[in-house]
Amino acid sequence: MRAFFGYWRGIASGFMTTLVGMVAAIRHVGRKEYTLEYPERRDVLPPRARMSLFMNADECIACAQCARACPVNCITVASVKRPREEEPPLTVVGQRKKVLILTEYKIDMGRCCFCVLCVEPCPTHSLYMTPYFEMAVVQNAAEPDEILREGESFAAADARRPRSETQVLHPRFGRTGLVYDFIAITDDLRHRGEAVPVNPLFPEEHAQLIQNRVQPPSQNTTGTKDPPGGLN
Amino acid sequence: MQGMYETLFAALGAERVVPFSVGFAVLVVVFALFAAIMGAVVALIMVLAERKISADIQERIGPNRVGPMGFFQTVADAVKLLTKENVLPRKADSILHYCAPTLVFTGGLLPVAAIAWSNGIVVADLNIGVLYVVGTASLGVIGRLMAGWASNNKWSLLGGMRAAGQMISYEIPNSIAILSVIVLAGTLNLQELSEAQKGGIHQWFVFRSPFAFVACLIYLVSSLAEVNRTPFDLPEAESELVSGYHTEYSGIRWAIFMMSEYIGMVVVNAVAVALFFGGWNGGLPGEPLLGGWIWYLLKIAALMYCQVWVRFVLPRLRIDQLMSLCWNNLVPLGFLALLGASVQALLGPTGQHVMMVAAWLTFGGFVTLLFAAVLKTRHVPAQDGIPR
Amino acid sequence: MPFKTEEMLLNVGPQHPSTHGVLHLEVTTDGELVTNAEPTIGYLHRCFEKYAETLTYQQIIPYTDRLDYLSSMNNNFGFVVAVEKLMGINVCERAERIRVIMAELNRIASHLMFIGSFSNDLGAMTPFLWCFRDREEILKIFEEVSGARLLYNYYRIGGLAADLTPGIEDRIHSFLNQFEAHMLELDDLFTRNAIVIARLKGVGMIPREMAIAYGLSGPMLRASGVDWDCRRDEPYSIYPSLRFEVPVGGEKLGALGDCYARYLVRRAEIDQSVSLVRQCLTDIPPGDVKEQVKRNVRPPVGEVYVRTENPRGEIGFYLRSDGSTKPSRVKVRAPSFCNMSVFNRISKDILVADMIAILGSVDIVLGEIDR
Repeated sequence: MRAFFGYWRGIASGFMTTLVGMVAAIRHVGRKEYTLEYPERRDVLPPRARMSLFMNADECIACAQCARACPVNCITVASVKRPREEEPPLTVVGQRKKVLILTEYKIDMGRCCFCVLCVEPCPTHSLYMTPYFEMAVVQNAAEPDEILREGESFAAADARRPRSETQVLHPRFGRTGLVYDFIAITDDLRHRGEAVPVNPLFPEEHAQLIQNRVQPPSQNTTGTKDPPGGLN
Repeated sequence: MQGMYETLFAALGAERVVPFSVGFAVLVVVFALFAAIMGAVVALIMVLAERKISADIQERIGPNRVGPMGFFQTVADAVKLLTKENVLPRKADSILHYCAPTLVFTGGLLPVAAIAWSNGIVVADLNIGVLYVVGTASLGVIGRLMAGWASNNKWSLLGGMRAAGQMISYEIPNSIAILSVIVLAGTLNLQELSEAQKGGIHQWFVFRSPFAFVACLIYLVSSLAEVNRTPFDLPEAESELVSGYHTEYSGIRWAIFMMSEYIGMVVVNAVAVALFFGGWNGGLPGEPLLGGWIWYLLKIAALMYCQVWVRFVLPRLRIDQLMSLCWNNLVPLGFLALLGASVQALLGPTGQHVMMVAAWLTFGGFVTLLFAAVLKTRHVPAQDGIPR
Repeated sequence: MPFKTEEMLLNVGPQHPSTHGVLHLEVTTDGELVTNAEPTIGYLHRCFEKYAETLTYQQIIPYTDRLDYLSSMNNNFGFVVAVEKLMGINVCERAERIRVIMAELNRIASHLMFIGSFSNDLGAMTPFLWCFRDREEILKIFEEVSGARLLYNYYRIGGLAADLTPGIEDRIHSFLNQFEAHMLELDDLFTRNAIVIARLKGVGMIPREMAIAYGLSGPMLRASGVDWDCRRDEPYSIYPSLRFEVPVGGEKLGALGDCYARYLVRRAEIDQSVSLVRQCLTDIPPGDVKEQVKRNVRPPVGEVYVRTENPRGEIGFYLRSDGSTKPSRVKVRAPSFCNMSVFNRISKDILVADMIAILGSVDIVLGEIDR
């Protein structure tokens, strides 16, 4: 008898569970989709988003605290002592004396683990994370490379390949593979008269930096289109 | 029997050119080609529909890149598959490996011939139509077993074995369910089956006999298993057997497996419609509006939607549970339905009316269960996604 | 000719849809029956423990992210608590509150990942996407607070990397409200589904004694009926001041120690975590959450072992300090590793589908097993 009822109960429960599941599923039809269609629609990334590093070489005092903090040793800093007779210039943020002259500042983004440990000790906020994540560039046989060629001037490189829209702020020139040379990148920006990306965590202090920049007379065209903390 | 061909033959005015026998042969070939092409088209549409329906249920968008609303996505996929390399594993049995998809596809396509799409539109008006459909549909088992064996891959082998065991087992409740209706209708001809359900929705077998209703549910469940769809997709269980018997297939041969799966869906649903849901009849008495084939296709589409719907609801059964469901639950239940239907076939007109009432009561019970299911699921207030 | 049968050796993984990473199982099957399943690990070995000896204490934190990458916050938490215990630091109330909020949110995210992948293993696709939809919201909250979506590096010795952003409390609240409703829908679709129950009931039974003998922890242990939770029984942070239940398999949550009990325990833990986050969110006291220690910490000479409750079980950090800025020895007790050890024992004479279900119910993360 038990087996008899068990048989019918089994059939009923299987039947019911299918119906319940189907009703539960069909209730979702017509709800708003959660998909974000990336290239067309983008999320506004929060200011703290750790997507790529940027270093403003103008503001760096070459203290190399970032290189020491880095757990993966991806930062290379080199500097020379400023001659005694020369008055060291001050940084805009923090008014620190630039006793050392920065001669090399490279970050290997292929090694970087985006942990922000390097950003935290920076006394002048010159090294910071930006929410720009489109770091890819085209470099193949069909497309001429976007990376600055040996001995090429920025103007020549600019003429060779105009900047693509999705890479508004990201350095095109001054990187070899995934090694970013931030002295060259800062030079590139200065040449173009573009502002450095705003440090999203200290936007007020960085507003000064943008104003302080010497603008070239004629070719100031692009500038920063994006507000801090997001694309679009 | 050759009514459709004679009409067409006369309409084309071809009797002056060739004798009827030649024209008949040509027309049969034309229809066969047409069926094969339609099979591919149905597969294309179904893949897209399946992806869209699943996206709906899962709050996604689904394919929307190629063409309007992603309509040509599957066309693009098909082109890709056509141009893709056919990989043959080393030490695979190349002849069997090559033949298997063809055999599976043949098994999927052959039953299409006997299906009566509308009053008078049928490629082969067989008097043993249902038997032919059930028989040819099980050809695919051999193909799947061949594919599993020939791939020289242990996953494929397991998948092929599972496919064989499952499909042969589920033939039985499937056939019993079909038999229940055959007993009531007294014919194996799909055309005549539709004919027998003429005259409004109350003449459909599913509403004419409670036993046919039960048989219908058995048929729907076992037909899911016949075409290897969730919750019975064990032969190609992705999380267990990687891809089952077609793990080692690529390109167009893989596409043929997929195509035959979708054609199989169309066939089992076409048979379900012919047997239980009035065939090409509309729901009203008299001749079907707009032509019977529209009703037929609509009913098939509705059943297909349910099959896709179920796929995204239920998890997969285990192999022993699958067999137990078949032999312990569906087969005995099927025999009960068959017994009841046989008794009903012997009843007089009064008995038929009593049975019709009983069928509607069964249907009422089904609807009550559906409402119970609606009440059982928790209602979540309507929302437009979590605020971003 | 006599009919001969032989056992078949099946390589599950490291490239297989259900091995959750680069796990390799050497499975001996007799047809559908699994007679033995031998896990092979080490494909993701990164030498964490040895490499940590060359790093300062702060620099180890991003490495702990990568242990159990589905619950980075909890890993950070465990390591940071260990270092603080070694140094004898107390952390301000606000920082502890935020730590617990983040850890519990990460627990929810991790369990959602479990439910999603588990349902996918069972062949149900929809719960997977529903769970990922909610997990995505948690990741967005993390992104706003810590800046990253997966490897947060948010906890610091003696504090946190950054305070909460303004308005995030409301966002977490509205997420939790929506999330609870979504979980009810998931129950309708998955938890009480008869097929799910049929697939999981009585599969992969781990009796209480076996669970203790194999050193299981977390939901695996509790599903077997052992009422043990580090948060309650060996409290750290502010857990003693919070009210929460520890779901234990047994009377209420399914049979003892089977796959379904393990699923239900995790499902119940999600509800407890929601309640914990709510408790922590009310009236967070003000305070400075930034680390209050020097940049290069030099803990006193000594050693410490601290275990904390990760979503997958107890994660234990053993640290030995020689007084320098770098630890002289780091050892991690990885919960997935210990939980995985029982797999071979319970996957004998079962069906292939059961093996996949058991593997899913153990909820392994290879990053942690291999370290």
